[in-house]
Amino acid sequence: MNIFRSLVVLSFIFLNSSQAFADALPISESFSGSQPSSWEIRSSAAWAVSAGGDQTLLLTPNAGAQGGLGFYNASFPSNQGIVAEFTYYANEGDGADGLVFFLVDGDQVDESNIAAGALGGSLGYAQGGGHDGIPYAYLGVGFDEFGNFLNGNGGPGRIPNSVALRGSGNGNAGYTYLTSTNVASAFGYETDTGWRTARVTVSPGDGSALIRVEMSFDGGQTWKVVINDYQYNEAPPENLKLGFTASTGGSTNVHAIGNLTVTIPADLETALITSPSGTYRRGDSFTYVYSVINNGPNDSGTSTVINSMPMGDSGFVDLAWSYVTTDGRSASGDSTTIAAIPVDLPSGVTATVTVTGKIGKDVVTADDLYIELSANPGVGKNDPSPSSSQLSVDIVADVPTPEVDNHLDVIENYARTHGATTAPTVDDYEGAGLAGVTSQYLSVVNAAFAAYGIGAAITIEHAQNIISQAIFDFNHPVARISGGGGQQDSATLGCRDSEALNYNLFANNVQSLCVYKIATSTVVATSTMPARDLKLGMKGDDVKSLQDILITENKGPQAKKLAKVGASGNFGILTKNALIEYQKQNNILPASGYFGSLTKKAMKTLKLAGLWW
Amino acid sequence: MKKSITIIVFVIVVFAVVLIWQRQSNSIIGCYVATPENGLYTLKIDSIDDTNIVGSLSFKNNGLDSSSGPLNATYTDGILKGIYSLHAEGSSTTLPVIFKKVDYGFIRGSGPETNILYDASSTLAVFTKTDCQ
Repeated sequence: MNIFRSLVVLSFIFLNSSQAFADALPISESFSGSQPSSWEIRSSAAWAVSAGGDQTLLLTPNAGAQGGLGFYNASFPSNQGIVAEFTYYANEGDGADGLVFFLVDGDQVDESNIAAGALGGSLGYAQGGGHDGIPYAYLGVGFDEFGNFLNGNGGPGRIPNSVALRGSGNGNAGYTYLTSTNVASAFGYETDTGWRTARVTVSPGDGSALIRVEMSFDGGQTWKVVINDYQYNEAPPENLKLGFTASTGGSTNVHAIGNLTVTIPADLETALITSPSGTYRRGDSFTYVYSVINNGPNDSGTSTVINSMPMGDSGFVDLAWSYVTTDGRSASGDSTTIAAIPVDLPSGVTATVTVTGKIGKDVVTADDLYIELSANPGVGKNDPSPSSSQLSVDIVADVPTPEVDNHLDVIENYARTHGATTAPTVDDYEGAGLAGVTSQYLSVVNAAFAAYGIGAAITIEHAQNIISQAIFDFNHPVARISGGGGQQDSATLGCRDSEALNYNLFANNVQSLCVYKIATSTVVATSTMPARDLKLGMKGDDVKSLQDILITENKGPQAKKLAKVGASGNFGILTKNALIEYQKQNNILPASGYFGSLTKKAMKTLKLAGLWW
Repeated sequence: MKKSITIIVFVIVVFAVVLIWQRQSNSIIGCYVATPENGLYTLKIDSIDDTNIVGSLSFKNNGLDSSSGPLNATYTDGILKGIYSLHAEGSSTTLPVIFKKVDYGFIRGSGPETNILYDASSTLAVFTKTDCQ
C-alpha cells in the first residue's frame, strides 16, 4: 500500500514536472492585466505600468540608483534552444544605464532566491561593489546606453550604445565579458531613443551554445544582426529560466519591456532547384522546383510554405503544387492553398516542392512576373534566420501593351456577349466595328495559330495571343525580326521572314485595329471609376479598381511594384506610392497619395482610350 | 589414386563453399534500418542483377504519414542510386534516393547531385544492416 502510494506520489510529481515543461514554452506576454503567478518581480519593477504609450513590465523609473527585475519562474529544457523576441523602452532620462535579458539555471533558481545584481553598469545582472550578481546565471545580454556593462572583468572599457554578452556567474564570481557590438557605430542607432525590438537566439551545441542577437529599429520590419552566432564555450544547464533586469545610477532612464514572445527555433531554409527557364507568352505553362529544409534544431510543427505571386488572369493561373519529403511523405494541391502550403518538417528533413502553372491571359506588361518563396515554422516555433528566395518568370513580346490589351478586350467581350463559345467570326469583328477584317484575315490567324503548333481549334484566347503578337511587333519596331527574303513591307510591319506574306496580310488588319482603337475610344468599360475618396488603409472593390488603373497606366517603377503584387483591394503602401507616382507624372498637386476629386477629374481627362468609365 | 581423387574433390568443395560464403557476405542483399527520433526507415534489397537492384523502402514516421513502396536502383562503385515510388495520401509520387555503402550498411546522401553530403552522424541517414523481419 505504501509502495502504491509512493508510486502515485511519484507519478503526480512526474506529471507536474512534465506539465511545467510543456507549459513553459511558448511564452506570449504583453505585461498588461493582472500579474500571472509564473512571473516574479523585484525591487523597482512593476507589472502593467504605462511607459512609452504601452502597458509594460516597468524595470526602472526615471530616477537615479534604481534596479528592477522581472523573472519568469517556469523552466524549460535547454537542448531545444530558444528564440526570445521582445520590445523594450529606454528613454526620458539622460541615458543610463541599460537593461539585460538573462538566462539562469532552471533547477537552481526560483522565487526563493531570485534577486537582481548590482546597480549602475552591472545592469542588475553582474556583481559589483560588494553586491552579488544574479544567482546561477548562465548568460546576460545587455542593451547598454551608458556603456559600463562592457567595463571591467574582461571587458574593453566603457562604450555607450552597445549590446554586450556576459557569461555565467554566481554570487561574486564570474559574469565575465564575452563580446559586444557598438550599435551606434555599426548601424547609426542609439539603444535608448524610445522603443526598440530585440531577438535573442540561443542554439545549443556540443558543450557550447551559439548566441545570436538581432535588433530592429523600425518596429520589427527590418532586422540588424548585432551579435552574429557568438560561440559561447559553455554548455547551458539542463533546464533554464529567463528574465529581465535594468538599472540606473547617476544618470537615468525609464526602462521597460513591452511585449515578449519566447519560442523554440526551427531554422527553415528555402533553395531554388529549378527556375522557369526561357521566355513565356500568355497561356504558356511553366514549372519551378525548390526545396525547404529544416536545419533544426527542432521539428517545425505544421509549418507554412509560402508561394507569394500575382494570381489570376493578370498573373498566374491553373496553379498546382506537390511536395515529397525525404522521410517519404507527399501531398498536393492547387491555387487555393499555394499561398500557404502546410507541411510538417522534422529536424533534418527536406521537402521538395514542385509548382506548375500558366501565364494568365490578361497579363498586360512585358515585365517579368516575380514569385517569392519562404517558409515559417508552426505555432510555438520561430525561425532564427528567416530567409526567402525569389524567382522571376520572363514574359516576352507577345504580351500586348495596355492599350492593345484594351482593344483586344473589345473583341473578346463582343464575342462573349454574343454567346460565342468558339473563335470570333468575321461577322463578330465587323459587328464590333472592326473594318477590313476578312475571311482571309481569319485564315491568317489560323495559319499563324498552326505555326505555333497549338492545334486546329481556335479559341478566343488563342486568337488573342496571335493578334497580340502581331500588334506588339507593329508597335515595337526595334523588337521586330526584320530581313529575310527581301520582304521590305513585311519587315516594316514586323513580319517574320518565313511567314512574311501571311503576316503582311495580317499586319494590314492590325493597322486597321489601331485605327479603330482611336475611333472607338469609349466602347467598353472594363473597370469602374471609384466613387468614394480613397486613402491608405482602406479596402474594397473600388480600391481594387484604382489599383487596376494604376497598374495599367504603368507610370513608373512604383506601378511596376504594385503590378508584381497585383490588385488586392487593400490600399497599402505600394498603392499609395503608385498613386503618388501617377499624380506626379500628371502634375496633380499635391501628390500625396490621396485619391480624391482632383485625381478623379484628372484621370477622366487624361485617359484617352476612356475604357475605365 | 582413389584417395587422391577424394582429396581433390574435398578441396574443390571447400573452395566452392568458401567462395559462396564470401560472395554472400559481400552481397548487399538484405535489410538496413535507420532509427531517427520519431520513426523507423527501412531499406530492403531483394536482388541484384549485375548493377541493377530491386528492393523497397519504407518510412514509418510517428505522428506523421508513413509510406512504403518499391525501389528501383543501380549499384556501382559502392553507390546505390535510384527512385523510390511511394504512395501517400491517395497519390503516387517518386523520390530520388542515393546511398553510399559503408562497413555497417549504408549512409543516405542528401543535397544537390554535384555536392552530395553523406552525414554519418545523422540518425536520418545512417542505415545499419539488420535481419529482415
